[in-house]
Formats: sequence, structure tokens, C-alpha cells
Amino acid sequence: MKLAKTTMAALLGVALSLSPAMAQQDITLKVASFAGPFGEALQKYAFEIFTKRTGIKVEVVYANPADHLAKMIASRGREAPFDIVALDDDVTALAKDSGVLAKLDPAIVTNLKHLYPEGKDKDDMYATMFYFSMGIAYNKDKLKAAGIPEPKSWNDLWDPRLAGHVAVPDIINIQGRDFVIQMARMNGGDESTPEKGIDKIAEIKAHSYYSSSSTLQAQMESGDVWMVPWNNMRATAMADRRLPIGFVIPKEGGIGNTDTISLVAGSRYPKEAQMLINYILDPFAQLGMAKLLPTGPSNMLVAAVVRADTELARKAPATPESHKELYLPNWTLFNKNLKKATDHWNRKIQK
Amino acid sequence: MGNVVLRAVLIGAFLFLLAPIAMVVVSSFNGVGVFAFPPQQFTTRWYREIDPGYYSALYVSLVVATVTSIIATIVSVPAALALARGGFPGRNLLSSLCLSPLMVPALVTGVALFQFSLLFWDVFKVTLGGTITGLVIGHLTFAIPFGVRAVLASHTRYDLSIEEAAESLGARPLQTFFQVTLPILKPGIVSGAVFSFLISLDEVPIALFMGGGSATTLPVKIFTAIEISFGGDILAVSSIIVAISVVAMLILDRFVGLERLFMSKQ
Amino acid sequence: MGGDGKKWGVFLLPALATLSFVFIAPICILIVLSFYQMTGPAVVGDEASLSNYVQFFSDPFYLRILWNTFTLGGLVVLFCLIIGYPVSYFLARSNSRWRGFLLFLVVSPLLVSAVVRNIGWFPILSNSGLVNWLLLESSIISKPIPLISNFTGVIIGLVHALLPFMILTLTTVIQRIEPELEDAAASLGAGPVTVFTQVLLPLSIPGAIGGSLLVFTMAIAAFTTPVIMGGNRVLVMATYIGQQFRTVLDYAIGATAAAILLILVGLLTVVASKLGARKVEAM
Repeated sequence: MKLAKTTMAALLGVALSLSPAMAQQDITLKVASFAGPFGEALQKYAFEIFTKRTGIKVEVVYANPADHLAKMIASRGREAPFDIVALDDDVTALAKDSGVLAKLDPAIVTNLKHLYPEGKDKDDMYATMFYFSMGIAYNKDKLKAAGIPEPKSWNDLWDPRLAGHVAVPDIINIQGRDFVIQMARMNGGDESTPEKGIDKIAEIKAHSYYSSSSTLQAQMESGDVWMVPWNNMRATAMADRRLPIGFVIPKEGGIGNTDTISLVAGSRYPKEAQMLINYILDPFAQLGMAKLLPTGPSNMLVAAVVRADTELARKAPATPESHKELYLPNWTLFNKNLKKATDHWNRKIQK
Repeated sequence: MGNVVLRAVLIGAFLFLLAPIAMVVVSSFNGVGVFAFPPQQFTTRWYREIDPGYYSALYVSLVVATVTSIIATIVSVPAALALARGGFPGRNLLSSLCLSPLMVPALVTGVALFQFSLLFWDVFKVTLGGTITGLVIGHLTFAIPFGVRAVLASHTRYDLSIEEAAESLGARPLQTFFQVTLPILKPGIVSGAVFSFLISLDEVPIALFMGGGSATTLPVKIFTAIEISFGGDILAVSSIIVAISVVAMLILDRFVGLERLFMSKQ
Repeated sequence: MGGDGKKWGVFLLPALATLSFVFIAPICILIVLSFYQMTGPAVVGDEASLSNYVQFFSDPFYLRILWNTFTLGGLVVLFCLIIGYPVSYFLARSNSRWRGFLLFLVVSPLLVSAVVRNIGWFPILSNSGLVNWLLLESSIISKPIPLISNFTGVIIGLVHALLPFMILTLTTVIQRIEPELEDAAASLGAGPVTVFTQVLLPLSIPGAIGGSLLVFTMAIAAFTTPVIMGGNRVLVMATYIGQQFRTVLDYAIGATAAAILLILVGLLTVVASKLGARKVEAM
């Protein structure tokens, strides 16, 4: 590409004068985050308070974690597209290995020392925000009407009576990757042989392949989708709204996931960005997110409160002990095979 | 008999054309399971839940569309005049060159600009992607050809003897240009500018690759939201856009004529 | 003003300079990129070759994407013709006072954002949406037909988006056919079907081809509608290119696919405009 670069330099020298010099007076931090309830929780329990206390504005960029990573990698070595990024643990591992994250300074992110040891990265390239789990969500009314028992095993998703009513998570999301790994494990494989899981998943007569939890939520509400591999957060939130939605960790075991927060390499305001990260890890925000989403907090300071909360324990892997009962995928191994997995998914599932 | 069939087909076709637009509005008031029919519960909650980010995205869209169509008009009017009147060599080739972006799928232009902005940073250390400047650059690719084509089209009916008459009556060249040429070409210029503005407001593939962060246009914001969080609030935003479009449509039909606007697009 | 001096060339410069910067340079870079190989996500190697193109045209996976794309374009054209022809015939022949209003209705959807129009299909086409509800209530079907988030959904979305263009083209063409020809054939005893197949259809074929090429080109170039209506399930050239650049970060193969789409669409546009030109000359 050297040729292209030099050609362009020659061709476009004039054009420089076109782009106005940007003089930045106030600081605005850009945070790349998930959309939906999580984004709202961050806004409510971290950003608003942070802006009120420091005068630093916060702007949120919503997209899938995979899209955030793509943006960071595409602009690697250039100006960062955002200062802070919230990711699922599968993408976090990939981001760390791709060198697009920057080290957190424990002197600024003082809450780092209060995190559970397993929630800390040994290189401090990210901090765990919370724990959640992946199982099966289902529409109780629809199953009852069709005479199908409530699911207990992952294999129940292949029930022929469910044809056209199962939503399958797309491999772009962590739910999809969890599902592929779980199915690979149940079919004599592991993270290095995603094709074993994908071949099995391709046999599901799917209603659709979801990448948006909100779309899925609307389809669950309307009764289009009866059963779906999903995380505990939205499913239990729907049950709280008195909708006939159940959530179960199948007998073969559920999968444990975490969401992390990191400083992006090349951020223009690393100090301010880390101050904000510290707010997100603060006990106040941790409890707020745990109740609202619901999730298991990563900050040890709130452990006593969480242990006393039986309702939260029912809805989420609230303590690291309960998190350990779930299977924790080896993301480094899976990510080495991600290209193979995506390719196999394209060929098997996309028509 | 044939008449009945024809009438049924006609009604069916028009229902088909209008159905999704009407349904956006109806469903935005549906309380439970927004994709289900019949609607179960009337609510205005989705309208209250609209993320303020959509309003700032609308602002970005309006700024980009306005700047784009102004620059495109300034650049394309002289170009179209030159192509219509000039006797320089290679005029046909240059004319195809000016219109060529319209032959390229917007997605291809979008990914090309994305790569271009990465290389541009490597060479000049200036960020184009994710800025308003980047969006305007992206949208000029179709706005300039639209402008050139619209002015060229209105120039074919142009009678040069009017200008000669003006000059023989002692008008200076500039005076002739502003008082004779421009007013006659005005319909073409206006329809080119309006068209660029409208396409810019609605465009996704280019703005998807050139925008991002605070430079996210409204259609891109909705487009990405469909992928990650598609719910009732999106239907509410869409209904507001429908309402605005209907008003814009009526105004345009009054002053420009919708039929002519789209006939000239082909 | 006026005259044919070479001085006019100067007025072209601003447009040419701007287009070189915003369009020609990026497209050249993209084409150059299609000859390189990736050495990692978003990392372009140093050696140029034709191997991306060889890979594209020899792997059945890519050929299937190409096939899907053409099938999509073909089906969209077919449905646009079937729905568009009667509407155009009515608009061309009618003296009804509704004509102006109906023409307004044909073009008005074009002014509503494409993204919004796609969204409107969800409550209509989803499993518990309007269409399936009607079919289920009237016992025509016993379980919902999937009409969205698949290939069918993409076709419906594109037919809706492109039908106005087909109608406008066909209306112009049918208007140019003398109604007296139909009357004459009818007075000689030809039934409506014969009049249609023997008189109307042959005369409107050039216009139908022009409109079809236009719709086909726009259908295979479309990106927004296949992404929204396809629900991550439909792989055509446009969705594949988008995926490579946005998430997989294989810029080289993405650029190759983009270059191939660019050439296809460019050729079709040239053919369409040549046909159109001949049509106008013949008039």
C-alpha cells in the first residue's frame, strides 16, 4: 500500500487547507457501550453524577461489541474513535490481544483494588463491571398451549414441535458464541472446534437469528418466539413486568459471562477517562446496575449487601461463588478459531 | 369484468405502497409486543422513551444535508454551464466523469471513503471519519452529479439568443449572468439542490462508514439501532419522521411538483 | 457570456477537483486494495496479486453469493413488472380526476426515509403481524409463514422501494403508444387479451426493458434494505461487503467484492442508458 499512500500525498496536498483546525475547549468523553437497559443504567448511575461533579461531558456511542472492536482495530495507531469501551468478555480478550486497549492506572482507578481477584486482569488492561449468565428463556403460555414441557436441557431447543419458534443468537454476539461453544462441548468438541457446535445449531428450525435483544424482546412479547438461548438480564426483567417469560439454567450447565470496561489506546483524555471508569466501578454504580439489569457486581465492597439480597440471587449470578458454578469459556482459544467459526457459520446458517 | 380486476389490482398496489408507512404510525402506539397485530393496548410511552440522541442525530443530518447541497450547488452550476456550452476537447469524457458517481453503488463509495479516511490519517494526521466534514465529503459524491445533471437538463431548453439580446442592449457579462442566465436556470438549480438535500437526509451506506460518534446522522442512528435495540421507541421516532415527511411532501408538491422531481431523477 | 471558447474549461475545475478528492481517489484506493492480501484483521500486506479475484470466482461459496444477488435482482424486477404494469396502464390511459392524486401516491413513498419504510414492514410481516393474523383468522393457514428476516422479506422490501421507478418508466412508455391502436384492434374483433399480447405488450417492451434494467441495477446495489429485512440471514454482495468491512475486517476480499459489484452495476447502467438513448432516438 506504499504506492497508494504516496500517490495520495501528492494528489491531496491541497485538500489539507479544507479541514478546519478544531480547537477543543470543553472535554467530552466518548464512551462506546451496549444499547438498551445497560446503557440506561450507566447513564443513570455513573455518567450523570460524573458530569455533575467534574463538568466533563459524556457522549455515548451505541453498537454491538464486535462493531466497537472493529472500529478500534481499524483505527489502531490512529486517533481513537472513543475513549472508553464497554465489552463482553469474548471481545475483551480479542481487544487485549489486538493491542487496542491501554493500561489502567490503579492510582486513578482506585476501585481496582476492591474488585474480586478473578475480575481483575493481571495486566490491568480492563476491569470487570459485572457478571451475568446464559441459559434458556421461554414463553410459558405458548409452551403450555402447545403442550410442550418447560425446558430443562439445551437439547429441548431441538424439539420438532418448536419448529419456527426458536430464535438463535447470531454469532456476532456473545450469546451466539456461548451457544456455539456449549453445543461444541456437548458434541465432543471444545472452543477449538466451533464447527461441531455450528453443525448441530444448523439443524434447528429457527424462527430468526437475533443480533438485537430489543427485537427479540418484542418477538417474545408478541408470542412469535417461544424459546431462545438468552442471558438472564432481559429475561428476568420481562418476568418482572408480569409477562409469562421464564428463564432456566439447563441441567448440562449454564455459561458465565462478564462485561468489562477499558481505556482505549490513543484516547485524547486518558486521565479523565480513567476517572469515569472509577465511577463505574464505584459501589454506588455497582449496586445500581446490579438491581436494574440484574447482574452480579464485581466490587467486593458491596458483597455484604448482595449476599443479603435473595431476590437478586435468584435472578443473577450475584456472587463470584455462584458465577463459578457456570462454565467459563476459554475465549483466547475460541478467538483463535473465530475466523473459522464465522466462515463456517456463513456457509452453514446464512442462506 | 376486466375493469373489476384492474381496479382490484390498483387498490392492492396502492395499499402495498402505503401500508408500511401507515403501519409505522399505528404500531408506535401499541403497548405490548410492538410487532403484533391487532395492537393490544394504546400507549404513548414509546414517544416519551425516545432517546434524546435521536434529536441530536436529526440536527447532524440537517447540518450535513444543508452544507452538502450548498457546496454542491456552488460547484455544479458552473460545471454544468461549462459542459453545456464549452468547446474544449474531451468534453464528453469530462461530462461522464462528473456523472460517474451515480453509477457506483453507495455502499462501494462508502467503503472506499472509509479506506480513504484511514490512509488520509496516515499521511496527514487528520481525522475525516466520524466528523461532519467526513459526512459532507461523502455526500458530495452524489450531490455534485445530481446538481450537474439537473442544471444540464434545464439547459437543453435554454435559448442562447436571450443572452445575446441582453448583451446587445448593453448588459455586462456578470449582469447578464445574474439577471438573465440564473433566473432561467433556476428550476433546474432548485430541483438539483432539493434532491441532494433529500437524498443526504436519507442516505445510509456512506454515512455509516464516514460517520460515527457525534457525527451520526438520523438514518444511520436508526439503522444501527435496528441491529442492536429495535423496540417501540424506534417506531415512535419513525412516526415523527413520517409526519415531517408528509408535511415536506405537501410543500414540495406545491412548489416544485413531486412528479417532475422524480421524473428528472431517472 | 455565450460563445464556445475554451475558457469554459476553467468553470469545470472546482467540480473536477472536488470529485477527484471525494470520489476518484477513494475508488482508486479501493481498487488497488483489492489486489492485496490481509496479514491480520485490518492489516494489509505488501504484495499485489490477482489471487483475491481467483479465489472469488473459484470458491462455490462466493459464486453462491453472486447467484443469490442475481436471483434477488431478477425476482424484484419480475414482481415490479407484474404489479407495476397494470398501475402504469391505468395512469397512462385514465382521464380520471384522481389521476394526479394517484401519481402523487406513487412517488410519495420515496420521500419517506427508506429506513423508516423498512421498519413499517415489521408489524405487517412478522409471525404475529398483520398479514399472518389475517391469514390465520381466516383459516387459510394453520401456522404463520415467515415473511421477514429472510430472503422473502428482502424481496418485499426492495419491490416496495423500487416499484415507483418501474411505474414512472412504464407510464411514460405506455403514454407514447397511441390509444387508437388498441381501439382499432378491438374494433377488428380482438378480445382484451389479444389486444394486450398483440398490440400493447410488443410496443411497451423497450420501455419495460429499460425500467427492468434500472430496477435490477438498483436492487443488486441496495444495502440498507437487505440488511434490515434480511435479519442476518441473507448473504448477497452488498451484505457480504458490509460484513467484511464492518466486523470481519478483511478489507482485501471486501474490496474485491466491492470492485466486482462496481463493475457489474457500471456495465448495467451503461447498457440501460444506451437502450434508453436508442429508444428516444426511435421516437
